Amino acid sequence: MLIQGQASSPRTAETVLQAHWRHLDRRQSGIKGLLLGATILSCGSVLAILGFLSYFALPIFSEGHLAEILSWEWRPFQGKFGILPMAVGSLSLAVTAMGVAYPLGLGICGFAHGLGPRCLKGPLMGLINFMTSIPTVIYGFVSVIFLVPLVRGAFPESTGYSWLTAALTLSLMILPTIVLLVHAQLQQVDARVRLASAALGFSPAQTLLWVMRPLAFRGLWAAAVLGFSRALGDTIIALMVAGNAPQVPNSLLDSIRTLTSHIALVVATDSTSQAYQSIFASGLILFGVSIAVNLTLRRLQSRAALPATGRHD
Amino acid sequence: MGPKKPVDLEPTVLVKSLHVGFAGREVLHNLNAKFNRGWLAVVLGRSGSGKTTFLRALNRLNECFPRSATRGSLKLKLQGEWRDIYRNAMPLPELRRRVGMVFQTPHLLPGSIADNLALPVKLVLGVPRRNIASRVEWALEEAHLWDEVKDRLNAPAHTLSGGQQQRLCLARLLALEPEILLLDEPTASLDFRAALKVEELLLSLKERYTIIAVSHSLSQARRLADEALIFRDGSVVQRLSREDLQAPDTLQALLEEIF
Amino acid sequence: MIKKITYLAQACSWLAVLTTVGMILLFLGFLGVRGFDTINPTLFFGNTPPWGAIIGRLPVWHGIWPACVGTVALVLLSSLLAIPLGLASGIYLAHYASGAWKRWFSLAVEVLAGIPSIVMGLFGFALILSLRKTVAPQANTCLLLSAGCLALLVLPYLILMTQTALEALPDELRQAGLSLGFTPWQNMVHVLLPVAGRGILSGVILAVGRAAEDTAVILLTGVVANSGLPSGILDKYEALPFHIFFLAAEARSDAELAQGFGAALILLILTAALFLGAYYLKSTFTKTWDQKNLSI
Ligand SMILES: Nc1ncnc2c1ncn2[C@@H]1O[C@H](COP(=O)(O)OP(=O)(O)O)[C@@H](O)[C@H]1O
Ligand SMILES: [Mg+2]
Repeated sequence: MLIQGQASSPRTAETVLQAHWRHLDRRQSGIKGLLLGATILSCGSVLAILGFLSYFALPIFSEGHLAEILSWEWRPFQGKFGILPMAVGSLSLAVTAMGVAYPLGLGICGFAHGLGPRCLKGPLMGLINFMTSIPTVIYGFVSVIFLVPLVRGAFPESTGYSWLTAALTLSLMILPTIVLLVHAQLQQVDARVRLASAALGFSPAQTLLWVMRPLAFRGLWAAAVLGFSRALGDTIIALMVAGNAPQVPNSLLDSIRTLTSHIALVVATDSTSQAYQSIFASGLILFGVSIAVNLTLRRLQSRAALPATGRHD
Repeated sequence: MGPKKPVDLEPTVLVKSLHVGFAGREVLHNLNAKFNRGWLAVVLGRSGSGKTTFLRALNRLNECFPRSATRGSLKLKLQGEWRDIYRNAMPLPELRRRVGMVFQTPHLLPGSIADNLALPVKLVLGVPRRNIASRVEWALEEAHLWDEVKDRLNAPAHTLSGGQQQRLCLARLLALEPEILLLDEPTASLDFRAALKVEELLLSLKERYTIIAVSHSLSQARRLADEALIFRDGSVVQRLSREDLQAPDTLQALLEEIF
Repeated sequence: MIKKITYLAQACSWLAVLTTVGMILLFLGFLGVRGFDTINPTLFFGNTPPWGAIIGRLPVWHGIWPACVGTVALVLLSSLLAIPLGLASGIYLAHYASGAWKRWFSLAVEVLAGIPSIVMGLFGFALILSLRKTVAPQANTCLLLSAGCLALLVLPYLILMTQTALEALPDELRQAGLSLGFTPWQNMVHVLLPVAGRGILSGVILAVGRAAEDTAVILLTGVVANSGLPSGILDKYEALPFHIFFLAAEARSDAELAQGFGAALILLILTAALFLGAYYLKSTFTKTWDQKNLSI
């Protein structure tokens, strides 16, 4: 529309037009630049986090505290800053919570995909989806008021704030993660095999157990990995109900402390530099684990290479 | 079809040794062609022979796909000036406005029938709000659609029938004052009657535009074409005039070539 | 044999479902029954006259009003930081990035999504420590810091939801606009974003819910038990999740415990409402597409 107004002399019209086009081009690259800037900022924050944690954990190496941090005793007043009990605590808690949640999760997925009546699938998955929205702190709160006294009543030698209590509560929190992941994978598989296996005369339950289960193994692994990492990363439930004693537990009724709650506790109470170093070391460990989990998940996904999705016509 | 016009052809599209590839695989090889204003050229060929890719080379839409590469020279005469669109380029949006394209299936914008026309007119041409309605009406008249939709301009566009949708897409193009029209099997998804309507429309438009249409049907080509280009494996293997197309023996050869 | 295994599996799945549903119902029921009666003006304002408390003239001592205000402020501030950044990055990743860069950026987003929230809090804490050592010896943990760390926490969700919603759109929609001569940005603003809007909005709401419920991040970055209303973004503040956390450990009377239940119920209602809103938007997003696809 620009052109008609300027048509008096073709050359000047052309220059005006070129200038206008350059302006448009600049605008588009300006917008692209802004978007790129935002992306770099978002993604760069990962590096910033890693950088800060490393920077504050650095003195462990330069001052030669590594052996102290990686030892089995935490007694800050006697100069003992070992975080290994917390590492064991995190691991034990995550493993036991998974031990409860994973079978439950599989059972629920099986129920929704052929083992249970079809009409209950919708409400069940709705409930599981809803569980993702329950705040963690509320799990912790109810557990403190309800489960802790229950455990204390059942095992009088325990205070109730224990590995067991935390594991049970935590399993409820990670359950939806597991269910939703496996469910998504089963749905994909289902779409592929439903007709074929129905044509062979399998019942839905049989289809699930002998046709879909082997095909869904990636989803099963992914759910295990992600559920485990969520259990490991949780702070609040462990902090509220696990008791927080820095020790290697001997029984399910012992009190334990995780790396995550260790960080929260030290920030709230201690302020010696070595105590701080120990929490940055804990932070780095957690960061490292989350990266490892991520790469594992990526591998699982990339193996599940989907058929090409491009349409050429 | 009416008597043929005295030939006073004004070339508007010149393609010289065009190569297009995706992800390292070449799809068009050393393609040469020439097209004129007031002249309807039909492209024929097996599916997968590169017809769509060729059309998309003319408005640089191949660049929307990952890892496309284009070589060669492609000159268009726009506003009376020759431009090599891959070099002395105008901005892509400007190019694409002047080289309009209709796809094999109707590609609608979200929203109502009126939205489909008004949004591009407003955004691309910058037509002021008060002139938009008349422009919409004009374009719908051009596409022989006005009488069918004038009472339901605000209905969702996807409630139209397939043929109406395709003509809506054409109207949307025409509203933007293009100079070259690229039509990629515009009637492939339509029934015979709807297809005839679109054909009729194309014939009424061809005086004023350069039209390059891909067709999936030989009989359609015979009804429409001033010239036909036969594609095979990414090159033009044959060029047929209107008379050639009507001759029964070329027809036989063509049928074997294409289908 | 096969029959037996099938029956066994069915029995196990019933058991799992009944256990889980039983636990959740027990859990919600417990909270509902104990919390329901506590929801009244006293829960929010203690014995301060409500109107005075709402306009901020009178301090509230025995109510959760300051914690509610703190949480709302926190959520608003972190949304303000995270939403523009998340949308822009999601758009970039969906339609502008390509090749190796896109893979690296996506990896970074996934890593960010996997970082435990306590580590995000620790990052904020480290930020303050280093500020104190360098340019600002007075720097302290505060509302702004918490909001920043929470923004980082929800950022990857926003990015992924935006990117997924945009990439789920059919290719022809994008080509339609571009072939008409829209600039890529016009196409984004006038065609793609309006269609993907519901999907993106549901992502935004979920992110808001996460920011509202997270406790670990704010624990390390400036939340306190008794500060009253926050007087500025560089101040300490109260927040609902932390208030609940605090009462679980420190409640000294039945009244305080009851307040804990009330606060928990309020927080649950808030996050559940956000969740339901997001769920609704998302289902209508998918439905509109199905409808359109049928007719095209
Ligand atoms: N975006 C793309 N990416 C990769 N290959 C493509 C793409 N578009 C088309 N092709 C390939 O180019 C060849 C020609 O396709 P096309 O131009 O669509 O043929 P036609 O329209 O004649 O059926 C086909 O082999 C197709 O696979
Ligand atoms: Mg084609």
